[in-house]
Amino acid sequence: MLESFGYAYMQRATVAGILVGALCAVIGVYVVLKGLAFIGAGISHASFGGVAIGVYLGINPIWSAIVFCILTAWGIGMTSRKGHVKEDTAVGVFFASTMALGILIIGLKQGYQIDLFSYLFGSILAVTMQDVWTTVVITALVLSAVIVLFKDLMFVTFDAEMAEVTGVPAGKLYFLLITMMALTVVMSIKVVGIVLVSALIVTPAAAAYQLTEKFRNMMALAVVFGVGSCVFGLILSDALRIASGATIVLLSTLVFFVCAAVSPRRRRAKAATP
Amino acid sequence: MIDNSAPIIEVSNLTVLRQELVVLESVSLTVNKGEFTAIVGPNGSGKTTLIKAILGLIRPDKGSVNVFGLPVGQLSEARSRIGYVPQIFDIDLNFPITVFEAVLMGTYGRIGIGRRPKRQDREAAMRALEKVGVADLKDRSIARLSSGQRQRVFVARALANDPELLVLDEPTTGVDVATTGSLYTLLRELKQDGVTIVLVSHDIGVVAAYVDTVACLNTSLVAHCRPDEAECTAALTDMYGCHVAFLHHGEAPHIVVEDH
Repeated sequence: MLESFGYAYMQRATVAGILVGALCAVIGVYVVLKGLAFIGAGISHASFGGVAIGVYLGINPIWSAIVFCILTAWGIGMTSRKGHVKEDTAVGVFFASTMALGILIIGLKQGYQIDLFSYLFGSILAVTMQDVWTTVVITALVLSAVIVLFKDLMFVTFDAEMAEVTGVPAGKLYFLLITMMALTVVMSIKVVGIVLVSALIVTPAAAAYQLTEKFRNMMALAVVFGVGSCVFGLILSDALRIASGATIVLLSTLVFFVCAAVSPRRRRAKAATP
Repeated sequence: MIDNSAPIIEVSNLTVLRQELVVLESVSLTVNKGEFTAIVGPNGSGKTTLIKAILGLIRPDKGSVNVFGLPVGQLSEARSRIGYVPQIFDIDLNFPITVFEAVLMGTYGRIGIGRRPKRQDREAAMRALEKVGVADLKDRSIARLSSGQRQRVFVARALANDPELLVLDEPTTGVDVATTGSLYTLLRELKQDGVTIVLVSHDIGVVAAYVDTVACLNTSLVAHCRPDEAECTAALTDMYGCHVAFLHHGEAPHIVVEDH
């Protein structure tokens, strides 16, 4: 079952899977605790527009998707913070429009046979060396920011208002957080695909949340679940010749349900009910 | 520069609109150093909006807010001299952190972004926990606290950076009598140490025994007076649409509401 690891494509896929699994899990902790899951879904759908622009212009779709997703994330952030609409409404507006833009642009590129399926549902086995290096650099950047700003990001996730009051720049950290989300989404496209990215961000962190009441433990467990789902999902999908992105996501979902079933939180909630 | 002779809080002509609705209208309020002020008023009278404007969380549509003699938007480092106890409903009580970690957050503004807490910060957090009497709970998850313990923890968080200005939004809502009592005793001690305190509260009667001034708010500032002044009693009567009087029985004041 493991003989495939002798092939370079499988090694690249494994490295990408480990990095993306860890990256998604770490960002997922903030997403789950701060309730940003819907923004994540919005940004991931926007990446379709970003990919389409890259295809149209003939540049690497990863770069155009990075720029486009960051701009969309900021757009959502600014509309909901400064404007008079709620965050989920802002996501709703950007969600479909950026995807529609993508469809329109792809349509303009006549005669071009782009493998849309692989962007929508992932194709981890098609990860190139350049993809691996891009993922290494972006993962290192995001994780360093998380390490340096660990206490500050935890503070704004827990209580942005108190953070703001005592002089922690909550607004800037929020924008940093959604920028890191955008980068994470784009890095995950090849691994699980646009449609499934938000699951890979939310599910491992949500599973970890079931098992611990400590922030650091939650992040560590989320990384174990995220990386584990990616690596075992990859092995499983290769052995059974089934879709890799879907296998990874379903595996992490299975982990979530197991964690939820044995969760001390659930037991406590039961005990607390009179 | 920070002007030390200036009032701690200077709100002038503050108007705040939300959508088309006037939430606060031309409110002017001064709180001097070491003063203990209660903001009272019926539900929807703009109490929370006023303190959020004072804390710089809401921008005024008209008027200005100065804190420590500076426009609140330009406070920067001076912000770490403010302690804030938000309404308990605004806090995610299932967040995976311990009591000690939550209280240590009170020092993060002072520590600065990207820096780690040092020994002195941990000691400050411990001192704050001891002050409110929950030091023994320091390793407990915040999800596993009674409402009284929880309130003490969030007061401790506000005290962790030794604030010069302490702002509390309805700190006694849903909290047991013992905690309410010890909170007011603690606030009195802090006032003696020179801390300026602003408290939003529903317990008009209890508050009257402890505070220097009462700001009666109902979209506009109805009165700002000492609780024993007739003006204050009259303002409260108007606001609540019934007769309210403070009756002091030693340490435990009562509130009498007559039929109308």
